[in-house]
Amino acid sequence: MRKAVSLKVIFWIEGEDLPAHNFVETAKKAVNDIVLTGSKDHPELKISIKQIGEFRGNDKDSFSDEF
Amino acid sequence: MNNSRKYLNERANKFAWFVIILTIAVLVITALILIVYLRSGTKGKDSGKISKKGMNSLNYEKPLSELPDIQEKQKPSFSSFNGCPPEGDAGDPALNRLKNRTDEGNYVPVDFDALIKIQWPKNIERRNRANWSPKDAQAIERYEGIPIAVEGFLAGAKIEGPESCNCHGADEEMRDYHLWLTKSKGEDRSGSIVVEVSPPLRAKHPNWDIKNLRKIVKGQLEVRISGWLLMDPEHPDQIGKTRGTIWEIHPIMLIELKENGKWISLDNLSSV
Repeated sequence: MRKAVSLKVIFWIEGEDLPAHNFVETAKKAVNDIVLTGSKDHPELKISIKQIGEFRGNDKDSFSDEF
Repeated sequence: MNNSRKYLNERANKFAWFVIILTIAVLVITALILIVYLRSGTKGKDSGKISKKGMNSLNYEKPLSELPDIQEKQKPSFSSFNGCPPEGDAGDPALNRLKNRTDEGNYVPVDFDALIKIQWPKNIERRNRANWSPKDAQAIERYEGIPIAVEGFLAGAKIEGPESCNCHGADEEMRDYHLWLTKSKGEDRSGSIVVEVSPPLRAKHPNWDIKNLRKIVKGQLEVRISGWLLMDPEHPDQIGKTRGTIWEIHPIMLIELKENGKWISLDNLSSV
C-alpha cells in the first residue's frame, strides 16, 4: 500500500553569526541540507521539503510553561 | 457768527457720537470674534485634535475616551543595540525599526477601550509594510506612532523567543518581554493589549526585569504603561484567544505602579 504523510517539525537552530546577517536564510539552508543528506539513509522513502519558514510562534503555544 | 459756531459745535458733537458708537461697535465685534475663536479651540481639544506642541497641555488626570488626532507626529529615532541594527536581521525592516525606536514622547493618557476599539484594514494582516496599499497604510498611519499611556493590570509576563527585530539574538538580553495588559483585575488575556519591552529599553531600566514584572502580575497591581502605539500584523488569529487587538504598545517607554493614589515609576521603586 502506498502511504504518505505531511509532518510538521519545529527545529531550534542556534549558532554564531554577525548581528545584521540574515540568520533565517542560514538556518533554512542548513535544514534543507540536513534533510537532503539524511534522506539518503532511507532510500525506501521519498522525502521532500514542501515549505520551510521561520516559526514565529504564537502567544498561546509558548506561554504555558513560562508563566 | 453765533449761528455758524453753533452749527460747527453740532457737527463736532455728531462726529464725537459717531466715533464713540463706532468704537463700541468695533469692541463688540472683536469680543464676539474672540469668543467664537476660543470656543472653536476648546472643541478642537475635546475631539482630540492636537498638535505636537499641544500635547503637554492635556489634563493627565483624565484619560481620553478617543485616541487623539495628532497632526504632526514625532519622528522616531533609533540606534543599534549590541551590533543589531534597528531594522533587525530579517522579516519586515520597517516594522522592526518601529519596534526598536528609543525616543521619549509626551504620552497621552487614553482609556483601555479607546485602544481596543481601533480598527484596521484586513488586507494588512500578515503582510510586510512594503506590500500594504497606500490607502491601507494611510489608515494605519492615522494611529500608529501616537505616544499613549494606558492603565490596567498585567495578565502575564513572558520572555519572548528570538525575533528578527532583535537579530534573532538567543541570549535573554536580546529578547523582548511580552506583557498582557487587561482592563480589570484578574481578567484573562482574551481581551488584552499586548505591550512589549524591547532589549535596548530594558538595558536602560534595570528594574524592568522579569522577576519584578511577574510579581506585578501575581499581585495584580494597578499599572500604567506608556509607550508608542504600533500595528503588529503578525498574529490576527490570536484575537479573542490571547489578545484583544493587534494594536500594541511597543516599545514600552515607562512602567508605573499606583501607590497611595499616585503613579510611581517602576524605576524609582526599590522593591515591588
